[in-house]
Amino acid sequence: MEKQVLIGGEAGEGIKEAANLLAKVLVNLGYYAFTYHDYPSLIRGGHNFSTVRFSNEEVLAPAKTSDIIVALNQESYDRHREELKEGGVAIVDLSVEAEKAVKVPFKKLTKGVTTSSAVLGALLKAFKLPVEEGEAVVKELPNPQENLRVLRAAYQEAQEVEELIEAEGIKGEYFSGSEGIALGAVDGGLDLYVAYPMTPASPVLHFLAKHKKELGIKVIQPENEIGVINFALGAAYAGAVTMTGTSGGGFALMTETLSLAGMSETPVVIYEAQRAGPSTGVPTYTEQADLLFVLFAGHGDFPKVVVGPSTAAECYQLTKEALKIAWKYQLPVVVLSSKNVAESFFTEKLFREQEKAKPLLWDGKGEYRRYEITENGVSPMAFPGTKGAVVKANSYEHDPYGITTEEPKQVKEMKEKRQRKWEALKEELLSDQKWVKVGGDLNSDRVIVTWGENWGACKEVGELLGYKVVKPSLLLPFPEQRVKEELEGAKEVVVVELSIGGQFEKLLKLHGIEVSKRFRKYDARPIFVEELTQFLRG
Amino acid sequence: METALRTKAKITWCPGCGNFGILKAFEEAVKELSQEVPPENFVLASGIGCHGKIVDYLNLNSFYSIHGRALNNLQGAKLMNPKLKCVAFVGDGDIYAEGISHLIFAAKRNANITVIVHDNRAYSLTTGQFTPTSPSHFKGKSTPEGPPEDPMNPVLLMLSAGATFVARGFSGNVPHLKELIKEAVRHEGFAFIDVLQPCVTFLNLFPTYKKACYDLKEAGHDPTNFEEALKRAREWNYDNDEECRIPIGLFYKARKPTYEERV
Repeated sequence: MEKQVLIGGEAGEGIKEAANLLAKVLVNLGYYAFTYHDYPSLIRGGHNFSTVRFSNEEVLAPAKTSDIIVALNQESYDRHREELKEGGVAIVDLSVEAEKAVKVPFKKLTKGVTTSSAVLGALLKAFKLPVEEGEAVVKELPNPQENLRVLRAAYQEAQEVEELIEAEGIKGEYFSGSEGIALGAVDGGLDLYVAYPMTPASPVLHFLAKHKKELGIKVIQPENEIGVINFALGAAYAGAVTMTGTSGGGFALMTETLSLAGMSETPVVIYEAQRAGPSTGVPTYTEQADLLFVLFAGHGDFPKVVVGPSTAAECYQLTKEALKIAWKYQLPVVVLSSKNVAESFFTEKLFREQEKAKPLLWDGKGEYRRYEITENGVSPMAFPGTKGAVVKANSYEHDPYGITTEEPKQVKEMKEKRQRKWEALKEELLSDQKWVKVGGDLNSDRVIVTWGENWGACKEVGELLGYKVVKPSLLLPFPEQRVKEELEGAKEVVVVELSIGGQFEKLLKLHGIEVSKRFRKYDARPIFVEELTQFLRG
Repeated sequence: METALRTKAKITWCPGCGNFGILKAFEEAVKELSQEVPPENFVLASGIGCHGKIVDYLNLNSFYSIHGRALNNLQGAKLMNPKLKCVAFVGDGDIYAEGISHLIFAAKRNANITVIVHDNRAYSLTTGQFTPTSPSHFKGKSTPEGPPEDPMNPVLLMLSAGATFVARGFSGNVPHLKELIKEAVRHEGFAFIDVLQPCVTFLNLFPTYKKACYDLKEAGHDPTNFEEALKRAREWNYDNDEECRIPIGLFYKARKPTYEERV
């Protein structure tokens, strides 16, 4: 059994909330649920829809067609009626003209407040689920009494459609990629989150700002992304574990300071949630076309690390890992996600464990030199306020004390010191198998190579059609050997990505990996399982 | 000269550079503040330009930042460790052009840092172009006929932006500047000092400043009076360098909750 429900209406009507409420009920019952939110860049009006896909099997991607479509207005019905599966049912508001649809007076019931509880009531009834299952999640909403009333009234008014196959037990927690990023940061020892608003990175800012007191962290929003990342560097210089978040345009503004982080060896983690570009682009939709920009960002030679999560649980793990790497090697690390990871909700097990990112600290002996020449290039850190240490960070090339130099010998020595950090971290990271994820049909000689948000769709389609799926979670340094091992003997290598220019394929080529087929999607929407299935079937 | 406060770095400013006066005034201020502020609690930050070299010369914690961004590095450090005494050395091109947004916002949020602007009214390390405070009579390399725009008045700007300590100093009057720096460092909130600092190579206004500067305190100015501060700030527009009177000293001071207290 695999079902999808689509809920459509105007922005501001509680579409997202309705989808999340339904998904929470389903997850509480023991299903896997995956929720995709599709919304234009406006606050009221327009057309929003969300899909909740659920099953007893893992679901990590959206589908194009649905079993039930809930349309709160005519536009939603007209736009999506063709996406109803055969035998599917439309549940529409009384105001919507539709043939053979179940009509529910959503708008009358809710009298202008959000319709989310009403939609939930109608859907519970449709799936023959007890209304009590909805009460548990509706109680958590603001104004619970009114919402409970609406839930029950809608349940009364709606019709039964079909019974679900029983759930097989709790699969995990229901959370978004953004929540994964935020919790990973917190468990990695975050002290300060600094960000300027930008879709689709902002949910992390909102989550951390809302919970900052109980989490014991600071959250600030300075004047612009240049200001943001320089705040972050100053905080890290003072010893605070710091992270920032943005999307492509904001990251572009940060790149000047990315080089400063590299040169001054200041640990910082930048969360970059891609949206469809170039420029302002299609701001509330998805793409993977910042990949090469991020990999090559920054003027001058300096080591940096880029990781790419695919699911909410990976967002958690990789963000924590990013902080650890940033502080161990004193350099910038980018967590490169995209809208369909950032704002989609997953059902996954979340193993939380606190592990504060820690640097190699100065032992307090002798004279302190911030950029001490060492074997692996990592110089012990001290922070301002430490008696006996003068901590001098510098954007200019510098001597071991941190004082500006232009002497060729010192310039060379310092560049080599930073390069040794790169060698050391490469050795450490690339010896770890975890950076390349493999799924689908593991024994197949037909292989899909992908990254980031496409993992879920590729894995599902791979299982269906007999493809192995290979996904590097580490993009810089690139786990070339591991990926090549997984591709050895493959008769067909398909690269799947969201970029018209084929940025990921270019990255693979750079590492000597040739592909035989390419699936490039660039309409700013995520990959729906049907279209990838169709493509691979030819 | 090597002292406990100096590093071994060789000073590379031009002989007679106004920056020497700022270095001296700051060193003396640090010495006189040593009972209040242990040296390890000072954090300096600088931008890029001739001024920035000062942090190489001072044996104190420092973040030698990039052009225009030093204030944000400093605010980040202060936010996460409030016991630090944070002083930025920035240039007029550096902070009035490249970093102007950061300056305005640091003042707006009343960040608890001190900002000392080495205002030589020219880009000197890049060999003489006009900056936001260059007078119209300055014929720089990029504007041989003089700048096609009027200079800005940073003192007036900082008063409007919400700075809670606004002052002007002159590098040719070290004892006066030292007292201003001490007071700025002691101030709880955003302290701003625009220091007139002649560039002997590209725009030597030393004789003008020597002649035109007068001390606000001696003139009986009340620094708690915002309206009076605005009047004094308007007295000189950074353009009429002939026949002008230039007030130096403290224009305005107020105590408001700081950014760090409010975050």
